[in-house]
Amino acid sequence: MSAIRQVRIPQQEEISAPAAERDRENPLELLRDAIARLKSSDSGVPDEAEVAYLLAEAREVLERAKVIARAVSQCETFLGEGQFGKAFEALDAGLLVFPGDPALLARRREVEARAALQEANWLYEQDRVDLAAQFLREKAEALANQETVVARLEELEALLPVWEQKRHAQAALARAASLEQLSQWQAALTVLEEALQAYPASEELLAGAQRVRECLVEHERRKKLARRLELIAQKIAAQSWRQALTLVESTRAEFPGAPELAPLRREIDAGVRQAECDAVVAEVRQHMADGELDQAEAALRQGRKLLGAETALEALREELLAEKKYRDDLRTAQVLFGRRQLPEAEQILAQLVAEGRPEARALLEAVREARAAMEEENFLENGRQKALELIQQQQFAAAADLLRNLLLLFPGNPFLERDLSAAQAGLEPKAADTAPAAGHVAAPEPEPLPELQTASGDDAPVREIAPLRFRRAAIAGTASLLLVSAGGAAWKLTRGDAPVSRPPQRQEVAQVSSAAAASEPSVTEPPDSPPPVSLTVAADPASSKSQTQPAPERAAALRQFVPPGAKATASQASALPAPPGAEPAVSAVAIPGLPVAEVKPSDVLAPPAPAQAPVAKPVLPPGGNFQQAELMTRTLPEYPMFARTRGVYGMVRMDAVIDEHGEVKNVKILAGDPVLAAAAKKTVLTWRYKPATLNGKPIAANVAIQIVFGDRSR
Amino acid sequence: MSSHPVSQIAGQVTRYLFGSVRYTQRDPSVVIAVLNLKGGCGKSTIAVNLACELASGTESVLLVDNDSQGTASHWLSHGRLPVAGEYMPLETDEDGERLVRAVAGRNERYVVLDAPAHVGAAAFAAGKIADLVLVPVTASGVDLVATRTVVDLVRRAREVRRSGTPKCLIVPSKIDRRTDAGRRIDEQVREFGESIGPAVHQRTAFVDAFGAGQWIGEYAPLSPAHYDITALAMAVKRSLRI
Repeated sequence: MSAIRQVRIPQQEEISAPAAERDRENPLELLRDAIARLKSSDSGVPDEAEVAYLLAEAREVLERAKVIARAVSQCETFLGEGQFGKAFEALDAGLLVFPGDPALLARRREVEARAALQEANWLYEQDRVDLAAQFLREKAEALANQETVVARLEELEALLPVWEQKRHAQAALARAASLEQLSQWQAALTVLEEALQAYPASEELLAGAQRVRECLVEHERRKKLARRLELIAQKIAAQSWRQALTLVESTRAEFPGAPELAPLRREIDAGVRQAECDAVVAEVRQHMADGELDQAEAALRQGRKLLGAETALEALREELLAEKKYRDDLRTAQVLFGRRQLPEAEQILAQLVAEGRPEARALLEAVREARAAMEEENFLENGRQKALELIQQQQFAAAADLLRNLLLLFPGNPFLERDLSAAQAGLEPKAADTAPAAGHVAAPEPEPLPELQTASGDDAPVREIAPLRFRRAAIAGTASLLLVSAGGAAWKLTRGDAPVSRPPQRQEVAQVSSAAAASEPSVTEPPDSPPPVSLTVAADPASSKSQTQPAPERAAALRQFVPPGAKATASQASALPAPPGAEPAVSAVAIPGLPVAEVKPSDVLAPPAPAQAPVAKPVLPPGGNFQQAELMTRTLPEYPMFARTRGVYGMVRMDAVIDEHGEVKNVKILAGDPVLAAAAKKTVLTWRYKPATLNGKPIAANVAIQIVFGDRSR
Repeated sequence: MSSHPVSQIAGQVTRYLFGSVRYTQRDPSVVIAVLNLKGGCGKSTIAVNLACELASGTESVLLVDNDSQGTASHWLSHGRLPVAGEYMPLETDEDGERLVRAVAGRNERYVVLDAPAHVGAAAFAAGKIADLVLVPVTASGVDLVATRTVVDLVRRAREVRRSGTPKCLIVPSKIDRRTDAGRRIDEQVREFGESIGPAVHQRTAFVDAFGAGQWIGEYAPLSPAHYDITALAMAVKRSLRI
């Protein structure tokens, strides 16, 4: 193209000569005329100069023709190869030799027209109709005679409006698309609508606008759905399950088929179920906290019926079963505690504590405390019995050692002090000789010795075999014992606030004075009469419990171990020591003129049998509604004259079985003076009880009975 | 309750896994150390018989022989004692640490240590882990001097533990009241300012029981010697309870 532009195009008038003149000036014709003239005879001999000129002219013409032919030939060759530049170079080379050659000029314009058309076609193919039209428009001015160019220009100009419309529409669509990518739906729609105002018939714009409108609607719909979903999520988070469910239903009606609603619906269903489950759990737990296990079980059963096998409910069921078992175990332990079956109660409670039931720990501590107190009491009784045996066997040193140890554990115990004095007296043989000289009332009497010996063991062989020194010592020790017994009575008379049957720290026996004997006045005693005594038949609910805690407080403390759910069960209440005044403390009433005993069945916390002499207790099923035996009728023991005249007093502890008919069976003497014990046992066998019941059925049960033969004047 | 489904599932899984599980807990063992720095004062006799007396109920007892003399171990070797036994002599500091670890891992209700007859970090370790230290004291001037050292050791252990423990119970041992020293032992041990337990008297039954490989409650039940041990066990329980 550049070659085309470099060549100056001759003016139209330069190359447009008349045809006749062109023929006349045709060099070949002129040469042919000149040769004809030379051959003609008319002209004679041709002038050589003229012929030479003609020959030169002819050669020039020939040369010109050759150049033109070669240029045209090369041009055609290059055009065939599509190399317009070389084609122009070939023509321009010819024109350089023969400038203004009309053939070459014409040929060059044709080549220019073809090049222009090719360029325009290329632009057209590149969808630049405007540029193609403009290019041809510029070329058409120079190539006005080229019809193909003009025709093509007209075609392009006809296509140009449609093309421009299409181009504007595509630009608008592209801009709208970029805005759509930015989610600027409204702006994209505005762009397209503006474009439509210019080209209202553009289908592309119409389709694009419609699509953007749909997108806009879908976008608004999604925004609304998102707001709804967020609101539902808020309701779910607030556990407002009903409101959430209503919202989901309305949203589903408005947006049918929205996939986001399905998981929310499932979550709400699960939440509603969980809420119902939680409500059941809360109700059951409330019942459990209130101790209403039956109601808790009913609520749980109903919940399981409604909700099926929910994991939480199954776990709660396990927990409820464990709780019931715990309550049963605790109740069993309480009953066992009440029956003084302390090791069994301790075993159950220790297991409960080990299972993580700290509330059982307090009861366990109480049981252990009671057990320790029971062990100590047993040890005191057994140790004292052993010491007495040793004294009887004249092993005074061993007896004194034992009694010293006992006194270290139970300081101030008058019995132990008395026994220790007796043992120490036995260690000093001279005391036996001096004892009768002391002038005590009971010392000279020979009768008590066999009775006491019978009571404490068979000592006759010892007396026969033992040397005289030991025999005297035995007599002296026994005499001292009796002296001390009488002295103990005097000691008790002088210490009105001191206990008579137990160490001072264990004075918890409800004691009621009685006449010394059935035949004696109950209140006043003549100064010269035998030492007045009191008879106390005691049921001591707290006798074996803590020494430092008052009985009512301990009873109250024990009551708190009873689970709330057991309140309705009378057995538990009866199995616990009642505070003073809560129940008739002692049913006995003083009978004027007769020995009065205050009797209460120490069914619950009475001291048990010692370990080395276990009483055959009836086997009772643990748990259940246990009602202890109640004393109905009783007579009072006679104070044996033998004991009364010698100042023998003290407590007799017995363990008896009350059979199903309320009769007293199998009375075991646990502690006490043998003479007093025989009288006590004889009387107790005549007593009648209302039998103990287990779940309303009478059963045999153990009761512990304590009878204190004491000083009535206190 | 969390409303998040993951939290709900986690809660359900937790309840499922642990709803029926109950953790068990146990009381730590009560450690009773029988300690004196003088040999021949009846430590092993008291330790073995006290352990067996404690075990005669429903309680489980471990008797640990910390004395390299191995008297208690020899007693146990007959297999007639109702207690479990371990021989763990205390000679070095490492032994003391080993003892602490061993006692901490035991399940018995009572652990009775028959401590060695020499003072040292190991004996101090026994004092540090003990709830009650029994100090057997014979009616001998030498014993009384050695007892002073033990009482000081116990008081140092109290200062370290800052809890008033170990409690201390001085036990007159091998007492014969027929002798003057035996009669005056109570007054002498009272000077230490610690609680005094029941006396364990000089009785041949203890020696015979050792020879038979039995404890006194089995060898001579309800004998005066048995009552000595029973009284001592009673005092021990009372000391631990208060």
